[in-house]
Amino acid sequence: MTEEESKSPDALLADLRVDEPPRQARFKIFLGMCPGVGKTYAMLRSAHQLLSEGVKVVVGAAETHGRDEIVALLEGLPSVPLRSVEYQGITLHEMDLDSILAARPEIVLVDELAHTNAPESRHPKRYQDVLELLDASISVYSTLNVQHIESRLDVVRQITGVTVTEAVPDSVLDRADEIQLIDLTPEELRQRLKEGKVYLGDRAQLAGQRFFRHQNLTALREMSLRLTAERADQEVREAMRERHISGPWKAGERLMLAVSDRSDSESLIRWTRRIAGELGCPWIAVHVESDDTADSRTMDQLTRNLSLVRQLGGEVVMTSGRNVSEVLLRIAHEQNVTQIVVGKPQTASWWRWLKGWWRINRLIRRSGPIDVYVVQADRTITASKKPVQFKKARPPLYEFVIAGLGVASVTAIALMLEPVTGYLAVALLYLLLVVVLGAQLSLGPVFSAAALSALLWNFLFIPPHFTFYIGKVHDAMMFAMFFIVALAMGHLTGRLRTSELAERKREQRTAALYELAHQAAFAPELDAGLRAAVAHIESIVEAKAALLLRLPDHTLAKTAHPASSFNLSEKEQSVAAWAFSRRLPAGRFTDTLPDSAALYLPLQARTAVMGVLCVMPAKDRAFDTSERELLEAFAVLIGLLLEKDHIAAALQRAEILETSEHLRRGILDTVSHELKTPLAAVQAGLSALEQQTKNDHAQNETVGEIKIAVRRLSRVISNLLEMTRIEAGVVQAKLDWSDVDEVVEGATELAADALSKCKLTVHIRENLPMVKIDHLLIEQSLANLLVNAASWSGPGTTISVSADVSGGELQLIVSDQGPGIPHAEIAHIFEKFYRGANARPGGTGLGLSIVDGFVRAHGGSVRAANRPEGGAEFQIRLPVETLNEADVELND
Amino acid sequence: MSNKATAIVIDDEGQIRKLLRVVLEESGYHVVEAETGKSGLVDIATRQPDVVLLDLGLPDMDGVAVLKRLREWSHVPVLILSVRESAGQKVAALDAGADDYVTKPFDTTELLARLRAIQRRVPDAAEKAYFQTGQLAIDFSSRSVTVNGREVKLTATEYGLLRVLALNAGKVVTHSHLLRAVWGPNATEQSQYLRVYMNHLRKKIELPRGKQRLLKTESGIGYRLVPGDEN
Repeated sequence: MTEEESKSPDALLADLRVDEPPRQARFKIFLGMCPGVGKTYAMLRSAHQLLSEGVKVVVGAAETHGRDEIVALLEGLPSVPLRSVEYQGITLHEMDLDSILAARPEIVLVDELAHTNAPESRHPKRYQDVLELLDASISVYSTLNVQHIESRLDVVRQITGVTVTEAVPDSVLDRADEIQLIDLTPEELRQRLKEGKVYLGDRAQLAGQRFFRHQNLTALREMSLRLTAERADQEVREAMRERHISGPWKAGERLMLAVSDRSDSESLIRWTRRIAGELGCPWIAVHVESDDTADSRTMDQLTRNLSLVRQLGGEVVMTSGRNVSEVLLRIAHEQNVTQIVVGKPQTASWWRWLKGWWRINRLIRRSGPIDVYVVQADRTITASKKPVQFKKARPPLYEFVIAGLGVASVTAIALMLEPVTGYLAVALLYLLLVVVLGAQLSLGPVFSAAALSALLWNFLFIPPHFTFYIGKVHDAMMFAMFFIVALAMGHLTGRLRTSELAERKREQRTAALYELAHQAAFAPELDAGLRAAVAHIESIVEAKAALLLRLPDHTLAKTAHPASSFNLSEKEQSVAAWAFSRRLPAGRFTDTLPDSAALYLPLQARTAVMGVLCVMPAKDRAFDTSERELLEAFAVLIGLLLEKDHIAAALQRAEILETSEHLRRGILDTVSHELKTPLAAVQAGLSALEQQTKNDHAQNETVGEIKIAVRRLSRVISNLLEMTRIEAGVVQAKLDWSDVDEVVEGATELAADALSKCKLTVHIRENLPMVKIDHLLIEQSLANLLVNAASWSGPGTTISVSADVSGGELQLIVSDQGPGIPHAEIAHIFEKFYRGANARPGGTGLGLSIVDGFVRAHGGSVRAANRPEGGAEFQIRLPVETLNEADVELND
Repeated sequence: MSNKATAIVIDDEGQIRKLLRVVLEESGYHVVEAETGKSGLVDIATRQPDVVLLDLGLPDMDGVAVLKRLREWSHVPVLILSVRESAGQKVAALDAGADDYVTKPFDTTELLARLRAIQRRVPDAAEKAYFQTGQLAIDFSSRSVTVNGREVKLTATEYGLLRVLALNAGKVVTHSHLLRAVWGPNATEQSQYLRVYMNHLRKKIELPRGKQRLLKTESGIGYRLVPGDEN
């Protein structure tokens, strides 16, 4: 046995705590079986402890319920004041999320995790506020009672008979880094109740009688103990797994639940989650789309079921196939599932019941090594929890009227034809009617028409006439077959129609997207395109639409784009701003600020959010799933459109910039040409004159003087031009590999005339790497420094140059033995046209500022200082890429 | 008159042409002036000059374009005389076939020295199998290099570089020209190889530092093998 294996679970847990990164947001939950066990008290006590350790703790929300011990504990703690919300004449107090986010404490205390926020808050639930705090890297301590946990709702209802409405999803619990159980025996709790230490409000009597019964408390206590034990167990197992210790768990356990589009699936989902939690294994939920018609009601239920799965931490698999049990088994094998959970068939319709048992039977027969659970779904609880009751859309009355009229008119025709054709042919007329009606009307009216036709046929045409009695056997058979065929026809055509309607709806959606893309993307101007897009959205979802675009400084505009058909109030703007900054939908029909008047969708493009699409439907209108998806697709499309325009504009700006730079270069070249050409003529003329006057000493001397003056003029002009180039920003370093000693050699050659009176010493470290620099710029800079040093140094003094490369930086130092730089001048010597007070005539005051300009263009810096032993020192520092000769791969 | 070298000056500035004529005639050249690129090309074709002085900023066509046209049919030495002084422009002119580059305003003595250098052309290796300058001697036929009479071992790449520089002795050879000639047409961006091999080559054939260099660096442009008699 290794040392690791012999560690106790406690030791492993302790390891776990220590190993965690210190700076990440931590989430700790104080869990209790019911109100009154002292969760808030324990939370505040630990906050005091943290505060004394110097941790920045604030109280975000804490309920005192008038309890003295809580009030006393709160006194010493800093808190963020609650926000007052006026709602229908009542003032409500809510946690101030934005102030906490702005204050950025290390830890914030948030009491009652399951709390439902006041209407018009950012999130409907407090746990959503907590998640936002955690996302902002702020640690949260919170309290929670076990009956508020989503997966425990059913059990709590069964035990206590109380339906809990405030629920916290299990996925939030999974986010918690630590769950601390605050435990109290039922006796102690009842004692505290008697002493009035538990707040029960005006429902005290009721709650005391129903909720705090002894067996309830025991059951709740067991639940909370088990939950905490499961968590601890899980943590220990994870720790063991990380350290590669084999454990007692069944390896590779995996649960799979078959989810239907019915409401009873919700309790199956909770059941599966609970079992998976106890087994400590992953679970998936599979929905198989089969031929069964899916109308919008069941679609909504399915969406709710699947989102519950995700909330509870399950994985969703959607697939389709006609043979449901076959598909389930195939997925089970693919996903290495060990146990399958299915619901007991409902007795609501005998047909469904039979079909359900048939499927389960087949599933069990073919499941092989996989276990199959058949679980009774609890329908009552979920039914009462549903926020909105969806009724099956009733076919309008007029459809029945049409069906009736159809049957009547066919009957009339049949009565006329019957003497000629006989009563059997008449049946075909009725069948035709049923088929025609099936293509146009809903199922109910079609079935009614089929039944009515059958009866009428029997009553009016099958002998004996005007009775429902059928005399001959073959007539009876005909009647029965007619009935079946009519019903089947009606059913089949009805189904055909449903799928055709769905198809048409999809087509409409595709067409709408295409239309928007076409109108918006091919509009000659962006504004026109946006106008078209807004108008299109408005006509398709029957709502007002507005666009808030991103401003150049990457914030969201306050006013709506002119294409919009409504403007946003300040409050609505803040919702849009939230959607913009968090890149998530917000407002109506979402979890964030659902009381807003409009829905806000971020215009997410490839690289950034380009703005927000605001859609405001009429008060009583809601968007269904497909409309929501369509709107989201629109938002993406508009985002891409804006991004395209943004990129095009950026390209155009770059082009303009390039053109103007080109122009500046052109002007500089012309000026340079116009200044230098006459100078060249003067210089060449002087040379010619020198030749012609070489025998006349006096004349020759004059020519010599002119020559010196011209050389000076030439230097000034080239300095001025160089300076102008630097200022025009057309000096750009062209980097190439160079040898440092070649740069120094080149510079000393350039400055050779000036240096002729002085001694020059060069120190370059052996085997310096090659550096990537603009050889000419740096050579010229160094030469200017050398000329400057020479002009301040007396004849015969030493000027030294040294060069070194270290840490990705090239250093060039020029020092002289001259008088040094007066202290007051050091700060100014790199300024344009600045000349030292004792400067010798002949300089322009540009040499050093050119050095500065060149070195800056290179991303480096130059500075001047006086040496302690006398004289000035100039240092150029350049960030450079280096390459050692030895690292160049030679090929011979 | 007949053994006087003929120089053609192509420049749009009348003053410069006139003064160049004075300076050049003083040094024994026969001078022909041309104001535009086109007339300059015609003059070169008809007069068969020994050297051409070409300005880059001509009114009818760019000097580099004149050079490219000229190089299609003539090897006459060309000296660029221009106010343009950026390394890029110099490299462009040299790569287009110019033999040397002098910026305006220029020093007359230097101009004349450069003119003499480019006129003294080294015949092709095919014509002459032997090159000598100062202490350096190259036998192209046996690929042997001697310095002060001692044979020096060069790698293939080093010899290739030295050969190109020797065949263009006195002229600036641009980086890209060297890279293309020794490493092939795809190597024009890999200047670090060139630096390393040039350093190796220098160590092998040059005297210790402090003396004038045989292989001179032209900052930002290329290298030049300076013939011994110029040192």
